[in-house]
Amino acid sequence: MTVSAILSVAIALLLSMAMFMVTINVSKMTQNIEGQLELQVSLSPGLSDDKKESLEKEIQSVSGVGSVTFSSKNQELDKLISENGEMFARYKDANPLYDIYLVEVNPLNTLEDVSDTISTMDGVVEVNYGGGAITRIIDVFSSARLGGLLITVGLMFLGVFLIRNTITMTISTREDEISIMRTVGAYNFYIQMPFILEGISIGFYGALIPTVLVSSVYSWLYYESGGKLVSDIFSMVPPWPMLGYVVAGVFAVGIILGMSGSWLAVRKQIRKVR
Amino acid sequence: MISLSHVSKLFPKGVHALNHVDLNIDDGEFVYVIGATGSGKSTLVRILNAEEVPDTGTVLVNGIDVGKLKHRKIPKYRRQIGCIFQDYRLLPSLTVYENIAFAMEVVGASRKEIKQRVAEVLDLVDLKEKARSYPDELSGGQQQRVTIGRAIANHPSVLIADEPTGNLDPEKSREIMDLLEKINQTYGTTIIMVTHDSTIVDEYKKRTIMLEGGFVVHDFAKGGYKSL
Repeated sequence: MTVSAILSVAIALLLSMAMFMVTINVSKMTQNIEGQLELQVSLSPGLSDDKKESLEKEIQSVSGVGSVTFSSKNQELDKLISENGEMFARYKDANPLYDIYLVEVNPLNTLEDVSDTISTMDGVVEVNYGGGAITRIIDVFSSARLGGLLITVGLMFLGVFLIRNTITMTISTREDEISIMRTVGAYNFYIQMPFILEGISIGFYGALIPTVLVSSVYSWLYYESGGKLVSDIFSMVPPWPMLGYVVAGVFAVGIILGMSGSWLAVRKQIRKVR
Repeated sequence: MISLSHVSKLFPKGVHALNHVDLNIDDGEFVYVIGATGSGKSTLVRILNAEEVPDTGTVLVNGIDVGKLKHRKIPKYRRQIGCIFQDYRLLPSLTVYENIAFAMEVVGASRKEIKQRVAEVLDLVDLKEKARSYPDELSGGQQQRVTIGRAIANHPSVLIADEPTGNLDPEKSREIMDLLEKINQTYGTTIIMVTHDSTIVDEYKKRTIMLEGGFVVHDFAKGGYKSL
C-alpha cells in the first residue's frame, strides 16, 4: 500500500518537476531575448549637443521607455570591429555610422508603438529592432511559461488526491482501531499523528525518485549540449545552484502533499462517526 | 447525574426513535433499560455516548450538554464514560494487557500509572493469568470482561453497557453481572445497562426503565420484569 502511494506521489512530482524545469528555462530564454531587445535610434549626422539632449528627454518621456543610452558612432564602430573583425578598422577615418540612442522598452509589447512614436521625432533617421517575429516569440514564451506553471500546480493537486486515496485505503483496514480509539476518548490529533507521519514519509520517498531522476537528466543534458540549444539566446539555466533550490522545493512540496493528503483522509475517517 | 428532558430523535425511516424522553439517573445508580428491538434502547445509548445528537431536548451528563458537544470536544467527554458492547470491540492484534493499557495510553497516562492500574483492573475482572493471551484465545465471557476492564481503566463516572450479556450463556452472564455490581459498589460508578435478558433483570433487581416505540412506558424503582 505504501509502495503504491510513494509511486503515485513520485509520478505526480516527477511530472511537475519536469514541467517546472521547462518553465524555468523558457523563462530564462525569454529574459535573454528581452535583455537583447532594444530600439536602436539613429540620429541625423551633425546634430548639436543641445538638440541631442532635448531629443533624449523627448524619448525618455514616451510611455513604455526604460533607460536611454547614448552611443557615439565611434563607439559603435569599435563594437563592430570587436564583434566582426579588423576588416572594419579601415572605416576609422571616414566613419559611415550614426550616433545612436539605445532605448530599452518595458513592457515589451509596446515595442512597436514606441518605435513608431520615436521614428517621427525630429532628428531621428531611423529606428531599428528585431521586428515582429521577436515579439511573437516573446508572446509564445510567456504563454508557455504561464501554461507550465498552471500544469505544475495542477499536478500538485493531483498528488494530494492520489495520497488521500491511498491513505484512505490504508485507513479503512484500521477503521476498527480508529473507532475504538474514539470510543475510549483519544483526541483527534492523537489518532491523526501516526497517519500524518506516514504521509510525511510517503512524501519524502516520493520526492526522492523524481529529484534524482530529473537532476541527473538535466545535468546530463546541460553538459552534453554545452548549456545552449541552437544559439546563445536559447541558453539553459546552469544546473547549480538552481537544481539545489528546485530539489529542496520538491522535497518540501512532497512532504506537504503527503501531510495534507493523509490528514484529509484520516480526518474523513474520524468524522465518519461522532 | 444524568438528566434527559424532552429528548426526541427521529431517523429518516422513522425507526429507532426517541419520543419526548424525560429521565433522571442519580450518581451511583444501577439502571436497566429494557424494551423490544426498535424501541429506542440503542439510540438512547448512542445519544448518551455522544455518537448521536438528539433532534430536540437536552441531555446533561455531569453538567455537560452532550448534544451540543463539538466533534473535537467529544474525546474529553468520553473519558468520563466507559462503554461496553455486545460485540466486545477488542483489538485482535493486542494482548489482554495491551487492550486495557491501550485505553490509558490513548488518554496520555504515564507508563507507571498504566502498569499499576492495568494490574488492578486485571485483578478486578479476574483475568490476571490471561494477561498475555490474545482476544481470540479467550471465551466470550472472558472477552467481555476484558472490555469491562478497558471501559473502567480510566475511572469513568458512568458506565454504559449495551447488551453486555447478549452473547453469553446464563452462567457467564451471572459472572458479568456480579462484576458490574462489584464495580458499581466499589467505585460508585453509575451503570446504565441495556438488555433484553429477562432472567438477569428478574434475578438482579434494579431500577428498570422500559422503552416502547421511543416512549418511556415504565420506570420502576423496584425492578424486575415480573413487576411490570
